[in-house]
Formats: sequence, structure tokens, C-alpha cells
Amino acid sequence: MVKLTRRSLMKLGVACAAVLAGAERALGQGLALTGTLKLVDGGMDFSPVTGKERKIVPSACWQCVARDAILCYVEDGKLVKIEGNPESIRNRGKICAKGQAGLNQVYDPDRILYPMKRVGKRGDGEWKRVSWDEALDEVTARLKALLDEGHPEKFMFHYGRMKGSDSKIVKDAFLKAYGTGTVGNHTSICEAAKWTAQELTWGKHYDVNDVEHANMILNFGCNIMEAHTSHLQLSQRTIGAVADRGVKLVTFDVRLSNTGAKSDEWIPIKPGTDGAVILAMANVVMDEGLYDADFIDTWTNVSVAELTDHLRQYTPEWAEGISGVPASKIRSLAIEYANAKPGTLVSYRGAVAHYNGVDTERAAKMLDAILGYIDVRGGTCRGVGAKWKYPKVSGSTAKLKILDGLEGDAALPTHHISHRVLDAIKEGSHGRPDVYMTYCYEPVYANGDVQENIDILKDESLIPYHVSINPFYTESSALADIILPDVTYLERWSWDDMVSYDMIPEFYIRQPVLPAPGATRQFQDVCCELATRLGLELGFESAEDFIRQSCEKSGLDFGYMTSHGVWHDADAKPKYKAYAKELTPEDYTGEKILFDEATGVYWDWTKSKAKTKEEAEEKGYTAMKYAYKGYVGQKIGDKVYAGFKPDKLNKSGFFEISSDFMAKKGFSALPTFMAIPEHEAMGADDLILTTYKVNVQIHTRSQNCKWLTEIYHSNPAWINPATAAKKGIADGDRIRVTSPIGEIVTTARVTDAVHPQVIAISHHLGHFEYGEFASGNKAATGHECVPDCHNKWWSEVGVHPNWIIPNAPDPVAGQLRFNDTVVQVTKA
Amino acid sequence: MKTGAEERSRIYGLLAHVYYHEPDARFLKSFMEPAFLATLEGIGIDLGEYFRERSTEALVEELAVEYTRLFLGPGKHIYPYESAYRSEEDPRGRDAGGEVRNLIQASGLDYAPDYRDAPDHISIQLEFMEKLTEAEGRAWEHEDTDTATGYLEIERRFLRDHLAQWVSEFSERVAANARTSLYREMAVLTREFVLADADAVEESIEEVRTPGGS
Ligand code: SF4
Repeated sequence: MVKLTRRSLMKLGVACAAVLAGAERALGQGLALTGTLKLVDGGMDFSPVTGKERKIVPSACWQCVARDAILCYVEDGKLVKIEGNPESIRNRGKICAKGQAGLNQVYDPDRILYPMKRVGKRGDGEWKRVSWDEALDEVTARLKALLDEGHPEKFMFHYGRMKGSDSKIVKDAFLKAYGTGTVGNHTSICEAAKWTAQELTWGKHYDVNDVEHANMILNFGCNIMEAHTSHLQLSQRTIGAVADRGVKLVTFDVRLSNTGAKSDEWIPIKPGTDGAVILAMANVVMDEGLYDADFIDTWTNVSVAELTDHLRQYTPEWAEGISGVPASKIRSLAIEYANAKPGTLVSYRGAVAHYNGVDTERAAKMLDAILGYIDVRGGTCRGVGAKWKYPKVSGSTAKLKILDGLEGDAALPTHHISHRVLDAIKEGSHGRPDVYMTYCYEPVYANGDVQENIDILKDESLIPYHVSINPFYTESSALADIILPDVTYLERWSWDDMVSYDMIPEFYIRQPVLPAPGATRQFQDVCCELATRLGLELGFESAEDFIRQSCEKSGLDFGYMTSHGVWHDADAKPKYKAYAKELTPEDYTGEKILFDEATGVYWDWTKSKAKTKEEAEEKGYTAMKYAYKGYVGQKIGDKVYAGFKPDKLNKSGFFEISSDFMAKKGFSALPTFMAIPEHEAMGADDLILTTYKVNVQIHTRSQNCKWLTEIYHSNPAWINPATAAKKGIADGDRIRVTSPIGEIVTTARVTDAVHPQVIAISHHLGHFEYGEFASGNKAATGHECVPDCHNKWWSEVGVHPNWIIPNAPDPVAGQLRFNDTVVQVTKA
Repeated sequence: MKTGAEERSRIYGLLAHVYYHEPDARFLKSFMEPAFLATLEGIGIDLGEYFRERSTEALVEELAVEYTRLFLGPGKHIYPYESAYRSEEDPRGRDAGGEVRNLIQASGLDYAPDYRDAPDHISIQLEFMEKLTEAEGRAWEHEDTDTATGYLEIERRFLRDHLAQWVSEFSERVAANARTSLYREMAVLTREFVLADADAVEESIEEVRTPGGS
């Protein structure tokens, strides 16, 4: 019997060394192997099938806005697989189906590979391939003419998703150097109401629900498991909390989403009434004395008495009448939530893409505040992301006043009203851009009222020149005059800064996994060339150079970042309760710093628009334009704290449950329930159209991904059996859905999983351009496809609900009211 | 933390040497040192009278024949290659040679220019482990836990995916067919040591990963 113990092995090892030495085999010298061992950190793997070496390139996903860290496997120069990067503290090595289907973006058979110039009328689909020189000569000439005229603002740049360095290069460098501030975004079709509400309440937007440490999760209208803006970070932590710790998850939704299905309870609720339920819960908290008096007294701008007074009207019985949620349920959940210590309330578009979205979100944050669940471990926290340092460009900009839609659209559109920009251009009273450039933005498809978007974008008298920056031939690029082919995210250089649910900032980059195909070019590189052509100084030569310089300035090793993809400070502690940090006198004294008696805010007037100190003192913090940019701290008692730092509005450093900004615009200072006018007026047989997302598609730009559309290419309208019976509709019937602006015909899916007053249609499908899988048509630019493309066994393309959703903004933030449309449903 | 990496490395080195080619006089001489034989005896490896009875020259001759008969042929012999022991269905074993080569090359090493045998030879695999454990030992010496763990991870992967997969069957065949105590006993030691080491590596990784572990 051989007996190997640790000791005997040690002895044997020593003895073996002697034998080897005697055999003149110098220690460490090999027999058959040469070279020196080195550890290769990531970056090497082999195909289990072919045995071939695979290069692993760490990068960042971009399929959805969560922007997770990924590892891309390249074999023989071909991208073969994408996985999550286990080094990331955000997505922790996981990615979703969309992320894995990133391959399909690269190998999309309908990609635009060359600059294209329209021939014939706009929208006729006739194109001519041109060289980059020719394309940029043309664009430069247009831009140069505007500069010479002294009207740089007539160059409008409209982006959809542009984050991190992509945004800094385009917006803060190129467009700034050029001098245009006519820069549109698309937040109003996402969750602008939520962000504006947060800016009114606790300052800088973006909430992180610390579900990983929460003891109860209340979910109002968020499809956590499929579609949140931080999808995988939140969903995996939620699942962990529910499955591992038995944390109670309660979902209020008009539809039994997959999140509802994974919850302890799904509570169907009438659309747009989430705010009523939340207010009633707050009422119970005050009534039962379950509130955190200390937080309310110290950190908010209201007193317990004021709150109790205000909330008295919102009884659970009142909320039941409005929402259909039983009063007893509201009461018991409120008490349970108050005792969870802490809990966190998740809210998203189901709750906020409504007429009353801002107040619903304000109420949500109020509920967490009065329970002391703000910025604490397991509570509702303010997002923490990487603070990159990067090359800056100085300059001043002018802008056309068309970013906030039409006069009177919204009172406080802090994130603009992108879906009304085309209307504002048509209306024309604030001028029109001569050059309209779209980037990762799909105005035709992503906004409501598709037909109107087409009509305006097609009209050369309204929009003389439309440049589309796009890797794909979409509904919007079909209406361009020139298309500049961008790369996909897998061929791109950027750094990014998405918030981290661990409350520790994570720095991460996106790097080209493959060389750019055809003549495609990363638009940020094109910006550098345009700048040179226009004689503008940016201070960096390319996107890659910008990333290098940013790494250097941020104290990160570029080589480390390209080989690891992510970095966080291993010694950092989660940043909870940042507001409670006490400032030292050095922080808030100095030449430039003023104390504002009215609010108790210390602020640096030089960061505001004030020309002199006197002007700043005279106007005061609240009235001085951009004063919030100079916010330093908030005086409370005889101490000064970091407080709730404002953004976009000159808010104090308090958690403002009561808002003067709202009051000044004629709304209630305290969160209230605003009934939705169309819902008040709807007939007994009318239904409310709700839109939603599924786990394998994003809104607009994923449907030509073969794998995803193979899974999800059919979106029948969900309708409740009781409702369907009244209308004589059976499962599978063709139905007509009519709104004030048009109608669509689709198929009914009769299911108990939807509120009886609702018809639910997902919004992903129904493209009429973009490519073979998205629309059934090969794009005008289409070329040979990868072999797998031919295995298309389905022909459906689904139905797009946006044709019948008006571009209606909510009155406060201007958010597109995606879930408010009243429709009539009949058998087709 | 210490995994005895240096000592493990020497054992792997010795075993690699045993299977690499026929033993020469120099190797046999130091192998036959009484101290070494005694150490072997201490763990239950007894080479018996075999060595004591023969001259070095005779041993060199006899063992060369034995080595050829066991591992080279012609005729029926034992394949010292992993691919011979892995099933066609096993995706990791289907191309064991390619896989092993890839792993070795990925780690920065390469086959010596004059090495002509198959890439998944038992001796190559033992030598690869020798190098890995040696590098691991150096890292511990420098108190570089990250690097040491990195090597441990490769050791684990290599043992799990390759060496430990087939070492038993191979060694048993050798032990059963050997006519000399040297190959018989070395085969036993190879099997026992590699399998024990595979477990030990798993444990070491567990240990470094456990917070508070030393
Ligand atoms: S959630 Fe999916 S699509 Fe979104 S960034 Fe993560 S992996 Fe990509």
C-alpha cells in the first residue's frame, strides 16, 4: 500500500530533487518543454469543438442600456461567442439573451457597409455608394456654411443612446467646439418623468434599489426580470433576494409580466393609478406612526405634522376606488413594508409613463423617505457610477428652442421632450435646423404617431438635410439624404460609467473585438475628422486616443483596462448615506462661495451664469440660472452637510418632499394624485392600451438579430377573457385597435394575465425597414448574409403599437405617455 | 499558504523523467542511491532486490528493452498518450493532443524544437505539471498569492480536464504489464501521486478562496 501524507510527500520531493540533480537535469530545466511560464489573465481559451485558440476580448455590451461587462471570443478572426465578464462587480459574469445575440449585430446581413447618398426623392429607397471623402466633403460644406453664417445652432444633432465617452466626444467636444447646443436626446420616450421627479426630490437622478440587502421589495410597474434600465444587475440581485433569503416581492402591474410571475404576489392595478396606492400606503405609515421621524425632521423639507395633514385625504379606501386594489391589501402591505426595515420600492415605466408619472415617482420616493429607506443599505439609493476624467474642450454654444417641444407642452422638461422635436420643427416658430443629424436615434419608429414622424422627416421643406449615422438601414435612415455607416458596439472604443448596484464605482471600457467591416467607421472618429476639416481643435485624435488619455487622467492603466475590461477599487466601501457627510469649513468657505439665507445652501457662484458676485448675491441661489452647478453643501442646524446634491434645478440640499418648483408651475407642492383626463372620460367599453417589453428584445434596435427574432417575432394583443367575451372576441381572432390617431389590426391573445380594462401590446415588433428578420424585407443596402440567415422558418414580423399612440407629453416632465392611450377594440 | 509546490514539482519532474525515455546510467546511478530507495520504501514503494542484483550497465540495457516493449512497440504495447484513453464522444478528449498543446502554448511554454512525439504524451503532461508547480512555488515564496492562485487554477484545470482523467488507466496497464519493479512501482506511484495531488489542488484553491484562510 502506498501511503502518501503531506509529510512523506515533502520528503519524497526533496529526495526526487537529489535524483534529478544527479541525473544532470538541472532543476527547472525541461526535457521536452521550453519557454517560460507566464500567467495570461483572461484573453486565452480554446474551442471545445475545433480545439482552436480563441482570443478573448473584454468589452461592454450595448444591446440594452444596462451596458454590462462582457468577454468576446474570437476564433479565426470570427466572433463566436459572448459571455459575461466575471470580473465585473455589476453584472457578475452574467449576461442575457440579448447580450449573447450581439453576434447578430456584427453579422447582420443588412448592415450598411459604405457611405450612401440618396438619389431620387427622399424616402424612395434609391441610393448610391460614395466614398468617405465625398460624403464628408458634402457634410463639411453644409456645416461650414452654417459656421460662416454665424448660425451653428442650425446644426441639430439628435441622439438616442449615447453614453460615456461616446457622448463626451460628440457632445462635449465636437459639438461644443462647433458651437451648437441644439442637441436632442430621447429620454422623454424612456423614463423622463421618473428622472424629473427625482431631480425635484433628491437631486441628481438615477435610483438604485439595493434589493440584495432589502427585506422587502415593492414593485410598481417595473418588469425587473426582463427590462429594467439596469436589467441584469437588478434582476439577478432580486432573484437572489427572493430565492436565497425569502425576501417578499410584491408586484403591482396591469399585466402579469414574468416579473409578476416570479413575485410572491402580483396585484393587478388599473393603469396610471400606482400613485394613488403609494399615497395611501404613505397615509397608513403616518397614521400608524410607523414613520422615521428623525429622517423627516432632519433631512426633508417638511414636518411630520405637515405630512400627516397632507396625506390624511389619501385613505386606502380612497385608493381602492381609484386603483381597484383592495384597501385591506394596501393597509397590510404598507404595515409590512414599514416594518421590513429596510425595504425598497422599485418603479418604472408601468408607473411613470403616464400623465401623472412625475407625482407617482415623487410619491414613491416620499414613501421610502418617510420610512428612512433612503440611501441606506437595503434601501433606495442614489446611483454611484465611475467618475472618469477626460480631455475637455472649451467653447460656447447657441441653440434653437425646439428641444422641449411646443409651447406649453410641459412645465419642467429637465430631460427635454424629444418626441415633440419634429412637431416643433414643423411648427417652426423657434426656427428649424438646416442640418439634422441623427445618431443611434430612430425618430420614426421609437416615438409615438409613426405616420406623423414619417411625414415630417420626409418633407424637405421642413428638414432640408438629414444625415443618418447608422450601422443599419432603419425606418429613419431610409428618410435620410446621406447615411454614414457607423460601427456596431463590438467594433467600438468607449469608456462607460453605468451605476453599480454594489454602490462602488466600476470603471470599464468597450474595445473593438473585430476590425470595422467594409468602410464602416466609428462616428467618434468621424467627428475627429470633421473637426479637422472644419478647423476645430479637440485635443485628441481618435476615440482610442480619447480613451487612452481618459485612462491616464483617471489614473488607470490602459493596458490593464484592455486586458481586463473592468476595474474597481478593491478597498472601496459601498457609498451609502453620502448625503450625511459633514463638510469642513474649508469646504464651504472662500472667495467664490456664498451662503444663501433662504435655503441654507452654500454655493460657488462662479459656476452659475452670474457675471458678478453682486448679481449672484442679489438674485440668490434659487433664482440664479445654473446656480445648482455651484452647489457645495446644506446647512442644517449649526452644521454643513453634503446633503442631497441638486441637478438641473436649483434645489436645496434637503430631500424635498415638498417642491416649490412644482408649486410655482401651478402643481401641488406635495405629491398628489393627478387623475388622467382621458381615463376619466373613457367610455364603459373602452380599453387602455399598455405597452411592455420582453426579455429577448430591446425596443427598436434588436429585431434584425436573427436569434432574438427567431425566439420572439409575434406579439398578439393581450386581452382579459371577461372583456373579450363582452366583445365577442376569441383567442386568436383578428382584432382592430383604434385610438384617436389611427388603427392597427392584430391578433387577440385572450388571457387572465391582464387587467380587464387593458389591452397590452409589446413594443418591439412591426418594423417595415431594417432588414430581413425585422421586417421581412431585405434592406435597400442588404448584401450577402451569413449562412445561418437562410434558416428563417417564420414569416411574421409582428405589429407596432406606436402607430396609434399619440406623441402626448405629461404636463410636468414631458414624458411620452406610452401607457395612457384610450382605445376601442373590435373584431376585425 | 504553502502547498508544498516545490516538492510536488520535483516529484512530477522525476516521474516525467521516468516516462520520457529509456533511463541512462547517470540517472540510474542517482536513482539507486540507498537514501532515495529508502525514502521510496517509506511510502510503500518497494523496488525489491532488483536494483541491488544488477550492474548499472546491465540495468541500462534491460530497462531500455523494457521501456521499448512497454511504450514503443513494435507490436502490442501501451500507448502513453491521453487521446488513446478518451472516448470519441468526450468533447474534451476528442482531440486531447490539440487541447493539451493549446493549453501548454497558452501558458507561455512550447515543445522543444527536437521534440517529435505526440503532444499529449504522459511525460509531457507530467513535465507541464512540474513547471506549473514550480512557478506556483516561486510565487508563494514571493508571497504573491494572486499569481500562485493563478497557477493553482491552471493546475486544477489541467489535472481535471486531462492528466487525472486517464492516469489511472494508463498506470494500471503499466503496472500489470511491467516486468521490472521500476516501471511497475513507478506506475503505482504515478497514479497515487497524481490523484492525491488533484485533490490537494482542489483543497488549496478552496482554502485561498475562503476569507480568513491562511
Ligand atoms: S442586460 Fe443583456 S442586453 Fe443589456 S447590457 Fe446586459 S447583457 Fe447586454
